[in-house]
Amino acid sequence: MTVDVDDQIRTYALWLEQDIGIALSRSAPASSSPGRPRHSRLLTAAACAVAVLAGIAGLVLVATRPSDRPASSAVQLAPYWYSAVSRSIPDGFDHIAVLTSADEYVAFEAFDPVTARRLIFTVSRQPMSPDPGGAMTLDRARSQTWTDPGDEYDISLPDGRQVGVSCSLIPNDRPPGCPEVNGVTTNAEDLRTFAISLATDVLVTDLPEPDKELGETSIVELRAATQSFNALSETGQLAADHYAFAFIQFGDIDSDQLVSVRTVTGFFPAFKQAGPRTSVVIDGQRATWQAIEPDTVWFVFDTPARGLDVAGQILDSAAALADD
Amino acid sequence: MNVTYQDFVTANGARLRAALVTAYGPEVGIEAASEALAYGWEHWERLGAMSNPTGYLYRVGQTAARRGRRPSGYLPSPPPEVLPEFEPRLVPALEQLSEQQRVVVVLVRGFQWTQAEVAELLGVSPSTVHATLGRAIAHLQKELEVETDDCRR
Repeated sequence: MTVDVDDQIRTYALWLEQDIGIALSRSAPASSSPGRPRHSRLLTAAACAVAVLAGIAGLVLVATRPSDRPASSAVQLAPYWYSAVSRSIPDGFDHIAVLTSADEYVAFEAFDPVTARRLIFTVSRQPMSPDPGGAMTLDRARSQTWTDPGDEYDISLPDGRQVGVSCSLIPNDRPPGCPEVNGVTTNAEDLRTFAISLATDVLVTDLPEPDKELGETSIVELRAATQSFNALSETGQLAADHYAFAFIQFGDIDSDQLVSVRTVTGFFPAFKQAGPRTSVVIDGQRATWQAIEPDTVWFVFDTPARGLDVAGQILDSAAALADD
Repeated sequence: MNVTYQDFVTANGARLRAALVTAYGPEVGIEAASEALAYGWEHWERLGAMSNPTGYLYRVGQTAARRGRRPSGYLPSPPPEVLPEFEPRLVPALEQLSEQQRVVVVLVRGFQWTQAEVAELLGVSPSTVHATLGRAIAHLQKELEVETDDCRR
């Protein structure tokens, strides 16, 4: 028997790309991509080996933390952007999803399953400027720069591109910044270091390709799982329905009866399906999350004062829908 | 055609890095690619008017790489416990190739770049790439031809 030279070279290239963590391929490898060329047994072994190594690295990273590792990491190959983007990410935010990949910018969400904190960061492909709502918009004049308004970091690059990093536990009603949860802290310096790393180390070519069309979202499941609660308030509203996340809330936004439900899909590494349901309470606000499917996490934000297990009922409904 | 530097890097950055990593190994190649891309950003007004800025920046990267010392065994090998079916003779065989042969065979067969794209990068004709690829594959096939029993213990 002779060795398949092409197969060996392709395997070596795949391993090398993952080992150094920089995109080198013409068509960068994506997780379980059906279009991957020459997908042989050896390539599969390479993909698994790389994923196992990534898992080991992740275990080292969180060795001092009570973390549940994703069950499926041994069969997952990291998306090509993962290494570059996660290189300096603060401890614990191992699970990363692409929220939106537009022509102008890419938005990511990184999730720490131990503390339920979410790190949202945006990297622009073109010169951008912030709009009053906090999103980034195209800055054709390249005239505006702004930096460091506090715990949220926005950095302007010399070529006019922007990087923004923010961290939160509960949406809408907290100032930006990573709250301390169960003794775990991520301070402003950590966020700043990460923002600078994104601005200086991540090339445009490291970023996910722009989405050409709206991806599948969980909005149908989201509406179904919250159906029984929509009658509680006339202000139930869909707040977002984007490429990889959907969001719905009901109740008065200024009251402690507000409930927000959010799904994010596409997390890498994936989680254990129907894994543990976890709640964190900070300053009278409660965040509950559960991976309903391996790469899809549901978040329910409410207040313990509500006196009703809203999160439990919604997540039960979501799990039942997923099983159907 | 007015191509921005960002568009250029999006289209060509990975190819440039792949070539320099293949030629000089990750340690020197990544640094050389960074220097080349930084040079391109600084001089884009002039480079953007060139017919083949990718080839020019590849040569900028080559110059940067050759300033440093290429370490012995510069191409890393996957640990056997990670990829037990990977042929360990491949990496030494790749290192035996000429720089151009190695770049051509790894970019085309490994990273799936087209022969035309590699020709543009190296500043040679597609027929030269085709011939170089043939010679490189022939050398590797000769080096890696092993008996079944040699693979098993």
